[in-house]
Amino acid sequence: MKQLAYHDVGETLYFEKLDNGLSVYLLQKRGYEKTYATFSTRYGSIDNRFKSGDDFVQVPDGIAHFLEHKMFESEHGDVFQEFGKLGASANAFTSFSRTAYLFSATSNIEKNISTLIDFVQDPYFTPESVEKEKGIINQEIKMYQDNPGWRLFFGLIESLYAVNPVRIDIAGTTESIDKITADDLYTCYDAFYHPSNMVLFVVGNIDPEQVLELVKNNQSQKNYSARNPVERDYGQEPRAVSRKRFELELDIKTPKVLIGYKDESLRGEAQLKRELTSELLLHLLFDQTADTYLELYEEGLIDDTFSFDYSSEEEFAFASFGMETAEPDRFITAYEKLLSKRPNFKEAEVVRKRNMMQGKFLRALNSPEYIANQFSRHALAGTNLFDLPHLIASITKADVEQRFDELFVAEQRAVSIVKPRLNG
Amino acid sequence: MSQSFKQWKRDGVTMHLVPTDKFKTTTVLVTFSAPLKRETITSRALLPYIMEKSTAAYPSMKALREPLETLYDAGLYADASKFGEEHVVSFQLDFVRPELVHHETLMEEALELLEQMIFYPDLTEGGFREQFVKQEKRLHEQRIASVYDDKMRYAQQRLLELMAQDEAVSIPSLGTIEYLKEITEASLEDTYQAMVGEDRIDVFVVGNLTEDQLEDVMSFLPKQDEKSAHFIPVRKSVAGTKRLVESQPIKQSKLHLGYRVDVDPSSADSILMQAVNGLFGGFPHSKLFMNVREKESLAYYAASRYAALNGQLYVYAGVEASKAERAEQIIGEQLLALQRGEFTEEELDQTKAMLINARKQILDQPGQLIGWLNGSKMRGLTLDEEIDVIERVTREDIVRLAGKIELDAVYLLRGEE
Repeated sequence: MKQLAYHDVGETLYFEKLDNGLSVYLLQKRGYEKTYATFSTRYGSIDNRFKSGDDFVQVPDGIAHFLEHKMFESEHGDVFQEFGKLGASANAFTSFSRTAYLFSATSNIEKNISTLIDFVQDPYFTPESVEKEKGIINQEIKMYQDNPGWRLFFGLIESLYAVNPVRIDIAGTTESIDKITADDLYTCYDAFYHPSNMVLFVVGNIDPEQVLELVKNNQSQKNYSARNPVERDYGQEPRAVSRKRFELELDIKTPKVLIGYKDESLRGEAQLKRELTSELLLHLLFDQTADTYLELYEEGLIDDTFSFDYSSEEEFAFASFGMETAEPDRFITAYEKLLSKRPNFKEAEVVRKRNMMQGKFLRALNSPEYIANQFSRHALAGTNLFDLPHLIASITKADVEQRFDELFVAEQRAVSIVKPRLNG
Repeated sequence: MSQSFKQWKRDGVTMHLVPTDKFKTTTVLVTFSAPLKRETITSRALLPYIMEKSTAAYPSMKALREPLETLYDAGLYADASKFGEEHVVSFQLDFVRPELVHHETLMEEALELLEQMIFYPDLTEGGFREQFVKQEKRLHEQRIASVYDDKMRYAQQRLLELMAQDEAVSIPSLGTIEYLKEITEASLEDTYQAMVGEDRIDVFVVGNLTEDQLEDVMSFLPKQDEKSAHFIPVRKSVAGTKRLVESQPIKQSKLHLGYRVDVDPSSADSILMQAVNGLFGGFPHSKLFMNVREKESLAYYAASRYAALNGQLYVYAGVEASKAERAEQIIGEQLLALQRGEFTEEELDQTKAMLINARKQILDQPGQLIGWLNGSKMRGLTLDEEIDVIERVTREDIVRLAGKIELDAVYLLRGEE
């Protein structure tokens, strides 16, 4: 077992890659009552076309999320109940590129860890249970359909991307999930739930040696053979956006607008540095301390509903920002103008933002959930969460300027608007 | 658990300290509490949005936020919330531990900004600065309107109004457009002066500090007369179930049920009631989750929440319009089952385990620790004592307390599509 000490943040991480390919990370948090564990696979909604046997197969949209729901049903009943009996809360989520199963508990830690690993490694799907699940997932899809923020977000991604499956709703559609069969679920499970495609992260007041021993014993009793990574196909995404503008009428009172810029995504540490530099850039432009903030605020072009984000995974990356405003077009015009020319960033501002990002990261380390989720996200993408402090420290004014020029290009821009129905 | 909690009075102000070095941060919360009133809530809800924009010494957002960024993302915010029959304006500061970033005076510099925000606001001759008041009034109007866009929140607000139109707990936490229109720069200053002059002040701190250090760094707080909390346990008897159905062009209907709970929030029974709520709809193994969501596939979500201070319990379900009636019927059956003692030992044990689990986890989050301290002060029990109460919950307790839950109102926001 490797022991990695990160003195600058006061944490020590233990790591081992097991014979079957599973990466196990353990972080001891002294004084914490809670233990939090995530078991994640590099498999999300965008992985809808991949090689199974000799050929590429196309599976129904929303299947990764559907599979996540179905994993909680074992041959012996409902897995939630098993955790409940152990005093733990279990949950799971599916993102574009990842599915994660997790629990948090303050007792029976070893039994909970075994339960987590065992249920994720024991698929059980029947045609009857698959049919029944469709009713529940349809309700979930409908709930998202009523969520103006979600519609706005997907309106933007569909506009930014022409080919990449990131443009498809994570839950799929009523029509796409209707096609899902138990066999499809097994096909996806076999492709993506092999230990070599997965990361186990446990954080809490644990004894790392003891937990590793437990996981090793557990895995040695299961017959996983070595496996090459699955080939995935995301298509060839053009540089330009698929459409410039999307509008949708909903039963709401205040319109919402979101502007996005499609970015090129790199691999590994280069992408992590790019992600952090982009975040710093967005903070420089849009925080309350920005030179332009007061002017925008007085014009009603920025307020507490304004938010920005840089989303980045291995296969896609984009920046977005937006807010609630009665006049979406005035907002769009103002920001097109603002971003048409690079402002003169000052050295002192960049230093201040680096301080801010360092502090933000340290604060986040209070949360076992943040550590486990973000570390796993990075590990599956081949990067290390604990590299953040030195990567943040390395960002220069020139890096930020270069980022501005690469990102804010008109051909890469799309806008999404949701607004009240005229007759409503 | 070995976490210690300290509480004492300093010149009339109640200090609450959780000394610990397990976090990367120190968190400080100063609260100003006053009785909840329809006439003052809008102004008090708007005030924090203006106070966190600037201070006399830092007269712009940029001037105020720059030092916070330099101090490694120190957080400094004002907020307002309802707490039973009280209205609370709060100021929160948190900052990373100075030794982690090798900045020795970080705590003093951060607390100085908190003091400036609370006691040296950006006042001109006519009251608060016009520029901020005008903007924030406009934004607050949007905030009030946007409750309509969040269908779950809208349905809950409608349910509260249906249940208790004339009670303080049904006053919308953001206030109302009518009162908002009346607010001026000068009237807001009056609200501010009343708050600092008359409200009860509490200080909550989670971090690596001693009592003496805390008194020392908070010496800027004013002296005040002893003030006690205004808790008036409300209990209005239920005279038949009130019903309201409204329609909107949404895809998923929202069914909200409101119950009256005849339990004193300062009694240990209010902790036992959390076990009843847990069995009813508080957890994934609960009756609502198992029967409404899983067995009948009637809803995407179905859950309950116990609001001890309001003496109320709510059930929420997202359903298809055609299934609302059936869902309501099954929800009613689940409560009846609890009242008859129809639940297994296993369900009860699981509920206890989940409640204890949640209580222990409070110790891992500064914000939750402060929330618990604030919510538990009227009960006067320690976290360990609360856990002990939960461990000893019996079947008879559940049956007795489930009998104190009475259906008061049913609100359905029906989808038209």
